[in-house]
Amino acid sequence: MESSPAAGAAMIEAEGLGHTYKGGHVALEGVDLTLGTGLYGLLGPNGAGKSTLMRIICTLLVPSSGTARVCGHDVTRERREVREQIGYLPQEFGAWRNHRAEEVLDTLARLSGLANKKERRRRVAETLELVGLDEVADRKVKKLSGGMVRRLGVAQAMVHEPRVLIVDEPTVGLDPEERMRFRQVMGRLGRDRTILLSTHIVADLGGGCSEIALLDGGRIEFQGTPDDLLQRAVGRVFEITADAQAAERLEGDYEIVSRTPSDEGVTLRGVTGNGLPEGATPVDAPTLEEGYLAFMAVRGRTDAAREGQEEGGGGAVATEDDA
Amino acid sequence: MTRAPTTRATALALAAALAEMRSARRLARTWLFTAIAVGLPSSFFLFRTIEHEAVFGAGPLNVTASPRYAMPAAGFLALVALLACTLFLAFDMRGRDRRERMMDVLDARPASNFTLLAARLGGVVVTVWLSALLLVVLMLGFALAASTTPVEPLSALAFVFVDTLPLFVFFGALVVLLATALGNRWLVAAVALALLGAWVWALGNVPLRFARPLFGHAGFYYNSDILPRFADLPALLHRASLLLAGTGLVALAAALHPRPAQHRGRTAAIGVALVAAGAAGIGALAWQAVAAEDQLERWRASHTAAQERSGGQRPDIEHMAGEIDIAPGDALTLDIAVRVAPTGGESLLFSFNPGLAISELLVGGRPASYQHEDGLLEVDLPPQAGESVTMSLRAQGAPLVRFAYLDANQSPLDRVALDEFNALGLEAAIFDSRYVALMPAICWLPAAGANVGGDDPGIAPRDFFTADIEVRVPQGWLVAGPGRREAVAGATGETRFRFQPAAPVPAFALLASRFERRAAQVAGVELELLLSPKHVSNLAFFQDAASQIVERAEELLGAARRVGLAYPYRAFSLVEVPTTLRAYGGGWRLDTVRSLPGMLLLREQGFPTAVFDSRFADDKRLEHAQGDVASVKLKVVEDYLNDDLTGGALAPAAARNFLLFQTGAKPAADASTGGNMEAAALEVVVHELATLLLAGRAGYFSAYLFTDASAFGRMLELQWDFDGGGFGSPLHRVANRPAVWDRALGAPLAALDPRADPGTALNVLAFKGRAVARTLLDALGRQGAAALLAQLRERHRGGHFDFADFNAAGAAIGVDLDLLLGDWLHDAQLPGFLASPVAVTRIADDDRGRPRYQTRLHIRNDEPAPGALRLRYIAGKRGWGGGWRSTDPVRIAGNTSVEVGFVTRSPPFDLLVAPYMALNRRALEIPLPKTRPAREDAGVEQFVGQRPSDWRPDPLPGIVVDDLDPGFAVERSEAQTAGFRLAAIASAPFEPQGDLDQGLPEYQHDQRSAFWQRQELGTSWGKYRRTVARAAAGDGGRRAVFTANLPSAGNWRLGYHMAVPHSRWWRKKRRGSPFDNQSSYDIALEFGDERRAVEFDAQAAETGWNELGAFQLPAGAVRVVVSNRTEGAFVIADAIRWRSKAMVETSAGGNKLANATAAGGPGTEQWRK
Repeated sequence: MESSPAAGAAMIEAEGLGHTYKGGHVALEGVDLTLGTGLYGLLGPNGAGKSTLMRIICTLLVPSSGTARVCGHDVTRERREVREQIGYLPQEFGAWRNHRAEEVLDTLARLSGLANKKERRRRVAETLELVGLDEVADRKVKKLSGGMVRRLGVAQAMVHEPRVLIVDEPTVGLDPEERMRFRQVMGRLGRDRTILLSTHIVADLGGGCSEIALLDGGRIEFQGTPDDLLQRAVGRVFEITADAQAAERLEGDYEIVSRTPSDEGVTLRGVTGNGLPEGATPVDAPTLEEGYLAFMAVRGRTDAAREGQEEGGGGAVATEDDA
Repeated sequence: MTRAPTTRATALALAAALAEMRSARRLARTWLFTAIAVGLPSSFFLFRTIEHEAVFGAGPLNVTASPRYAMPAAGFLALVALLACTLFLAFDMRGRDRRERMMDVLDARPASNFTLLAARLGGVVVTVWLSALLLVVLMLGFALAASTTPVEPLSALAFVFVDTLPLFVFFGALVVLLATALGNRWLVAAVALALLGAWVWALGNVPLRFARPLFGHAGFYYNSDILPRFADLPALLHRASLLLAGTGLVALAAALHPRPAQHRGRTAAIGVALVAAGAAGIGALAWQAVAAEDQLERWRASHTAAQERSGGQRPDIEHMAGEIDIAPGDALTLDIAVRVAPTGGESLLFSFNPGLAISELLVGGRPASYQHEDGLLEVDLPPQAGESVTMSLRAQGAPLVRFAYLDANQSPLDRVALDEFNALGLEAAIFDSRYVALMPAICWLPAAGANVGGDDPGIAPRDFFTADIEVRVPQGWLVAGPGRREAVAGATGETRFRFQPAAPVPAFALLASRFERRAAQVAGVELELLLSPKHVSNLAFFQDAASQIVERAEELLGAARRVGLAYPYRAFSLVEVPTTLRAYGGGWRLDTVRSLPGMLLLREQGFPTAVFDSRFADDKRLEHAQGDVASVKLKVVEDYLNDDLTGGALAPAAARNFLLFQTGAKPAADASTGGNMEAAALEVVVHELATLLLAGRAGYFSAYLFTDASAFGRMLELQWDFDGGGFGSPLHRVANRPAVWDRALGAPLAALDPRADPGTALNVLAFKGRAVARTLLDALGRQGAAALLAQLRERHRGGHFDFADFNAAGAAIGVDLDLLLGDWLHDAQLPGFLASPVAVTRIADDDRGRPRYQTRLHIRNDEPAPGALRLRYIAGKRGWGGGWRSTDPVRIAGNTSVEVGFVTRSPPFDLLVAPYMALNRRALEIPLPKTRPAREDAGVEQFVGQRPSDWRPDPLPGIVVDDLDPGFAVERSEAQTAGFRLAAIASAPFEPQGDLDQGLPEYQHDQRSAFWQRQELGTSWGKYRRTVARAAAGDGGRRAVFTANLPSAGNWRLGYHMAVPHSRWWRKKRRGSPFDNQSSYDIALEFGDERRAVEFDAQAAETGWNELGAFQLPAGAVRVVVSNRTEGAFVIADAIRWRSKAMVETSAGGNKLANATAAGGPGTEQWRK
């Protein structure tokens, strides 16, 4: 496994973490992870084990092997202490339909230990403003749009200012503007706390991302900075201009990331795990998405990576039964 | 984050609870159940209020109808609805989270599983509980706003805080545990609903003795303004146990919760421990109930054995004197001397309350050996004890109020919580810091013999004694007892009274509290009313009628004195008692105990809390009333006090003082002459006679009236009919039933066995006793009846009389009671009366030239037993002065006839032959000529009274088989019972619920019942009773069979008697109704092996005899079989007639009879009935 040292003190640590579901499906296996302050991205195709890892860290799932600690507290033996430190946005979040947005936030803030009424009201108002829901604070959840509910989810995860924020596919359902705002918020929050963010939209990690962990088949295959990932992609991302017939052939043989019609025909950008196609030009500054796909292409997992990207659903979500 | 764990957990719990409350509040199901839980009970309360304030406020139905005591019933409705609400809020708390995708978010919060579950359950419970609170606020608020009677506040508080809250917690916790364990919410709902249903079922079926410890509802038992109680200790312990167990269930649910948690094992262990602790608490209560039951059983066994050992012999207490110190709710101290006449043996046997500890006991001034165990006090007699010995006794303690009615065949503890029967009270006595009711039944003073059988004079005749007792009570308290209360100087801070009744008493009761008192001297008797200070509004209301009330009392007491029956004591107190005091006694009679020497106990749910305003709110009603407002109020209060069906009717209660508290019946000296019932029957007759004589009205009380679920409805029915002992009286309505008649005819009164169906036996006793008493009163007149009673009282005051003594008292006033009444006590036979057609003629005008009309008819008693009757008639213009009048009683010896005549100024237009008690069961309606005789019939002399007659009814017109004859039977074919088909089950008729009337179910106005039922119809055939058998149309499987034995072979003509099934009004109203249609009947003749169909179209038939044809038949049994197969709605089987050719020809009246019947109905043959 490749890794790089975490920035600052370790907020999330995992050693040999593994989880096997009742049916025998191995979701995590020997995961070692150390995260300090900052925004951490968790990438991986469907079923890679991202959600399982997050649920273990959030104490919602008991690991089959290994240990995990949050802010120094063991997730199996010191659940309450762990829960006091975290804010969690699950992949699926709906909120009580008959409660108003403000009420949901207020209740969950109280349930997170924010007992002081004045302080709590201030935090609720700030958080609602932060996620752009201040205008609809007294609207019932059932009257909110899908994006608004998602933003409410984000708000509930951070309303009590947790030291560790774990967000699973937070930008699903958000429009581009909201996603941009979300990236900004995450970037800002990540300055003084740990954010573990799972996403299939690699771009959402943004510039504020300290590290990326790439999970596949229950194992962490890469942990490092975005630049490390990009460095690895150099030479595996190419650009080629071809006529329509050739372009079609190239699309069948390579993982094409983008397709741009041009005067000469079609300009394609793609990744390869082996050699470049004939006539292709290596790309010197690949994007993070291309870096991720290239990494997966090297491992022969391009299809899985692409599937996850297209579905936009991320990995499997564990249920209570799995626990 | 730095706060203490407890504070933090509390804060988290509060957050979860508030969120759950918000969720629950915004769910439609919450509001649906709240609407039910508040709406239904509120409507019920409103209905009660309207009943109480506007309709029945001034009627004795207050016993159950007052909104003041509506909380148990209203609360129960609410409780069931709110428990269902709890279920449907708690059964899917986590399911809702999952559906709303909040589960993970909540699970990631730092609250523990227990905190989350408990808090959220708390949110549900508080939401549901607020509905209960809302209900009570609405009930109280409505009463406040509308100035009507509010619900008793402490019962409301008990409902809100004791009955609901812990139960919601427990049941909610159970649902939470089920939800955690089972997962599927619909499965959870099904299981929880089944449990809820089981709980409701158990409440309606588990006897009170176990329901109290198992269910512990406080509000069910305490409904009294005098003794308001929030909840007693057992109820609180029960509720605490529920809370413990509920908490344990939540802990178990937390341990089983799918969310990862620490210390699951520890949580589960705590949960099990808490559930076990709760179960132990309830188990302890149940054990206590079982122990109390064992104790009662032990007492019962000891006293029954002692009664048997003594052979029914009891010492005779002659005089009782001494001091009694009442420290309410704390201790009772006795220092008394009892003069007693031993009845042989070496010891004296008393019943003495086991709660009182004897500190000293002397006999003849010397310490005596005694044993006081299980409430039996056995005192050794010194050698050579004289005819009387004096036993001095000092004792102290809190009397056990359960030590009473050990031999009662009905106990409130055997009933279910909301049983109407419990409206008659639960506690045999009260020893509370606010009220003391020392009832004789608990033997707080030594009582002769064992504490069983005392309610039946056939087992233990009442023991009469004189008394001189001083009573000490706290300052400000008043005491009611037998006779006048005289204040005695006492030490500072205490109040002393002396009771020295002027005549013997059979029991000594004391009732003490801080009463509000009103009193008046009436003809040397102090009349006193003692009410709770909370219930004095009616005193003000009746203030302006006070003088009329006093005058009326003077009138009644004066009248009694004038006929030789002076009131025996110097005071008569009407004393208010709490609702919880039991109104009925023990044994099989469960006789009223509200009537005590010199006292009548007024239940607080009666006169003290009744609302009378509505009677006077309507000026028009007052205008129609006779007399001024005060007179109307007198009538209202008199009716109210007399119409009480719960054992507190004034007239019979007062009458007891004149006779039954002065002397009592005893079993026959010669046991072979009668059974144990002889004494009871004698007392009933004497009591009825005294009541009718002294008050001019009768009362009726039977605790059995309350033993079925329709008690309230029946009381309502009775209240409307209450007319002071007439033909529509409660007794008549309750006792004039086929079951009572069958029982009355089955055995003489003296041999009536009360063990089987004692309620009916009591009605037989009352019904027959009333008939005898009425006969006596009518035959002897007021003076004669009073003389008879006075004789009895003078001869046996303080002692006992039997049947021979009763007849001897009659002989002393020159009346042969045996001749007058026959052997009414030892003979079950009854007379049966037949009447001739009536003759109305005009006779010579009176001296003032006014017309006079002579009415005569012959009446035959066609049975060996003698009997008496009256003619009742209406003469004059209809609707004006046309009230019913009666002749003097007409006594007719067995198998003889008399002619009866009376004279009126206009011809009568209604005439009844009204037996006091006869096989006819009801009065015979005698048809009268439709035309008024215009001219005087000079040949007719005036005749008023009765004279012997040789009139006999004509012989029967052939061989007649009536539906009441032995030749009539009903059958059911096997085909109908064979097999097991759904269709057959669906179409199966419901079993008739009414009495059996001479072998067939009494007709219940269910026109579709396929059972053959017996209906009384005026147009039907019958000797004494006119009845038919009827069945709804069916498949022919149910058959009525008339079997006749033909004396000879030959040609026989068959007649079929038809009766009109409904009144004229009904037929007009329901003309064309499918339920009223008649059609062809399926009739067959069966003789030998032959079967022949007979055609008969009931629709075209005439009322009366219908000829069905002539048939060649052999001698012997011939069956006429009528099945229920018809195209019409029902089939009637009334009577059949066989006539040979010779009978038709020789009976000149035969054809005429048939014609006359067809033309004018059977009324022209009245004499035959």
